[in-house]
Amino acid sequence: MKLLQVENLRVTLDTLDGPIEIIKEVDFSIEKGERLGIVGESGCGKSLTALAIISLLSPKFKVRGQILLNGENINLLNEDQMCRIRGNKISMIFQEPMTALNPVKTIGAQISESLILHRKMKKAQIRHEVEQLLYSVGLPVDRFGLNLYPHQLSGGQRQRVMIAMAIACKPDILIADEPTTALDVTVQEQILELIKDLVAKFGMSLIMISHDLGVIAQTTQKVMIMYAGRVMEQGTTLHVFKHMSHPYTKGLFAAIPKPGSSQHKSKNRLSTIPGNVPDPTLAHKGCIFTPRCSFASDICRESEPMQSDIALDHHIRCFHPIIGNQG
Amino acid sequence: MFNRLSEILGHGLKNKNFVVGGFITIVFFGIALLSYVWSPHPIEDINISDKLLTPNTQYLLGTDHFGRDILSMLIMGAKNSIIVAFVAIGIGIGIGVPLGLIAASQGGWVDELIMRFNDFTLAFPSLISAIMITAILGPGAINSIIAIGIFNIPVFARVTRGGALSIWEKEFILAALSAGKSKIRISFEHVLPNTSSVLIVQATIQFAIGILAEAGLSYLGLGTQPPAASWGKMLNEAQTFLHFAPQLAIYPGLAIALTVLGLNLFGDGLRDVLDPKLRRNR
Repeated sequence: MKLLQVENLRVTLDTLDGPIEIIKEVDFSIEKGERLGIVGESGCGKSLTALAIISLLSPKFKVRGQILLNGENINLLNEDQMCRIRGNKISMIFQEPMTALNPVKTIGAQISESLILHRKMKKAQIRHEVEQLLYSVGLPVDRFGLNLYPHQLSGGQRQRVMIAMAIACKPDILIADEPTTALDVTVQEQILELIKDLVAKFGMSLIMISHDLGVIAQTTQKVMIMYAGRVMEQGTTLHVFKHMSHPYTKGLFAAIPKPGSSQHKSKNRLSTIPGNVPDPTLAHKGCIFTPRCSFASDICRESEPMQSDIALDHHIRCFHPIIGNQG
Repeated sequence: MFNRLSEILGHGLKNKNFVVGGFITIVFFGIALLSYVWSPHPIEDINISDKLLTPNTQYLLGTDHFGRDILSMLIMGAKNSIIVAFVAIGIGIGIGVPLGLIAASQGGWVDELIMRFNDFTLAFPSLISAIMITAILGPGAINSIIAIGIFNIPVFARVTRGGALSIWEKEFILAALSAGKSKIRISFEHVLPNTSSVLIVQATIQFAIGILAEAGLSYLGLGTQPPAASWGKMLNEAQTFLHFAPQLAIYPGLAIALTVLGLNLFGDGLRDVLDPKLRRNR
């Protein structure tokens, strides 16, 4: 049995003009200890997918489909039961370490919160555990006391505190929602390595959400490329990066700046994907990427492609996969 | 914690409102505390032979129509005002703050129900409604506390809800939710500490209003009952003698005005001191 299996996940938003489908037919699964990446442009539904899994979306959003954690559909659980899973079985690291910590509580108090909540431990035990956690995220207690307030720490240190909070109960799944976007590149590197190490050390599974393909390449084994709430391509990171087959994935990779190329010469201009992310309120027919796709044909405008296999563990939603290209 | 306090005090000493208001408030509280251990004369002491004396060495501020010492009555009145205002604020915070937190965390019909009930209560002028409540419950210090307290509830509920709603948008709330905390728990452990500065300021303002309301009720004979002393009651009794002993009205009037002024200045100053954004603009 898979640790987490998401089947046909759909998220709709109720508006005055009727429901809008924001996430459609998302399927994926993670084994214990596996690391999955979710990539896509801003607004493609990456974070929404993550929040749907731990059911933290506001009630305006309707989540349908199966979210099986150890075979149990957690989409059917009520709020009380969900509270026992959040932080305990699945926990999350957020993007903005500046705002994701409560400014009026000490870091020690904040890290111990989920331990108090989910593990009925004694005070001394909790203190010991928090010290261990801080040590394991690289903030040794002899230099960083438990009584520091978030404003006394740097961005990278705060993100470490966030990580300590998230892994306090040794969850089965750690969701990292763009954990390094707000940090500078050198700190980003350290934080990614830290997350990777901790995931391996505690046998957790990781869902890494990012728009940065480099981050995904560095941290994940499987990857899922999302566009406008749909999974465009998914498979093992190695295979997808080597044999990317969807025109959208291709576009994403082409848009990475290459060292040495000058942007002043027109022939070396940074390539982009023309157009914008489609407005989810507008009705569309066929493949949603059609308006921006240079390979689009009549069939793309007529019907939506089903998921098809490129290789073992490499699926794609496209009528015109680009086969045989090296990344 | 101590560092934070001394930091606030450091900023506060640069703020004139805070210093002046704080000074008056401390004097007022000091006088009220003094009444527990010492007052020049017992206020129950009726000396008809000494009635309506002007200030002299025995009676520093003179005496009233029963020959009671005015200074002693002012001191006892300060204590009385503080107790009434304090307990009334306690009622307001004790009920209003949880209501505001629940409204903000639950949203939907719960929020709607609580806030519309709030509007309903606020729609009545507070002093007139307090008079109505004491008229129903009967006059007395306890009942005036209840009446004033009831009108503190919607004020605190509204302020708390407003502050809490802005805190609920913060990312650390999402982080707390993702740690598996329930909404009620988050309300008290994360939202409340972040709204406390607004609540503290509101409490000082409500304190001033409470003192005024208590004086008003006592003036009408609905609040503190004789022989206990109250500034409002002193004003009421002074009315009869206004032409030939105006000092009887001036002293309690001044006491009320100064105290309320001091508390308001203190509240204003405190708001500026607690809010780093306002502090920087000065």
